[in-house]
Amino acid sequence: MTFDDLVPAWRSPRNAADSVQMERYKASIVSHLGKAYRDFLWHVGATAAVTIFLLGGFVQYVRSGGAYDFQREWGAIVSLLLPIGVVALFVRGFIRHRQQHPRYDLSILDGLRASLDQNRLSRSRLRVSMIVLTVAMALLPVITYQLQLVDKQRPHESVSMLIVFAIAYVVSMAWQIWKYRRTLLPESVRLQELIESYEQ
Amino acid sequence: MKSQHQQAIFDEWLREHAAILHHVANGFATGADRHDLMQELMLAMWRAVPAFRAASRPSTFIFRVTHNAALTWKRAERSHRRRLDRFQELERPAAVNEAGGEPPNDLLEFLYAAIRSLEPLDRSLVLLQLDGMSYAQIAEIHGLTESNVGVRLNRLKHKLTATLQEKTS
Repeated sequence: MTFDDLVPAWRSPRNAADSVQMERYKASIVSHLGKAYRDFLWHVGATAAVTIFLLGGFVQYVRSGGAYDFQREWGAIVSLLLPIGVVALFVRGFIRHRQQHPRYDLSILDGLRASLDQNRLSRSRLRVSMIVLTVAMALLPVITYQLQLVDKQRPHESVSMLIVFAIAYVVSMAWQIWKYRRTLLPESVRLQELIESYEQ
Repeated sequence: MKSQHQQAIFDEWLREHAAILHHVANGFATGADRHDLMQELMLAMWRAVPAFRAASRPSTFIFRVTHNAALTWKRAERSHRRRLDRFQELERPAAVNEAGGEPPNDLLEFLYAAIRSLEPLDRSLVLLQLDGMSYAQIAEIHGLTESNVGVRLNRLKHKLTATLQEKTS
């Protein structure tokens, strides 16, 4: 038997795609894409609504003559600036990634190298995110202390706030560590092995 | 790219190149996993439509996109059960699948099993060769040199035929 002997079996009608089955797959994909699009709109809408609500509330407060002492309440401003700094860092990383892999679509090997770099970027983002979350968490007692000093928060409100944020911190860190170790690291190993198989 | 235009191109590609997806799905996965992979291949093809440039042939582009998706595919454990349930609902009854009264083509089944036993990159090279791609085209799709593809495929052909002879004898 030679390789050429396999070709007739490969090109036989038995090895053709089942058109009815493919249509069913397609219908399922279209439904999946529709749902993914609706989920995306919902998430974007919800995030935009929360951001506008919080920012609007702050602007309204300042415009209506609400007192805000930047020197005594700087903690809240720092915590607002942290995510902006993180976004700037992420955007810079993304731009660098695009510059390093402008033609990732030339071949599968180019695509794999770009994917590995993307994976490295994702891991770096998670590490930054975990560090920033920890810094924000460390800043929280300062913020509540400052809010109490200017009579904007009562002690029992501070306690409630600290408990809620601590729970959110633990949940968020657990999810990020899980994603890092269970998804991104194994994917990185797999991509490295694939790229090495090209170089053997 | 407008969604309707993207959908029209996707439909056309699926109509004309369904065999590519069928071969890749069977060459990389078996049983229930095959449905999962088929979904990944279709999603990869859908997402790749806007990136297609008319400079290359659609078939070459689809080969690259689907083989790339298959190489990087990994069963997502968490959503696996949910996807399988959905696809098992879509599965046609066995009697319909084997309509025509033809006996099972053992050689084809053995061939797919032998391909699946290879390393991922080797699977892809063999599938492309069986689908009639030249060494130059395979080299372009994978980013290898033509001579490298030739050496690898010669080795793989011997290995594959030896495995098949063992199984069919």
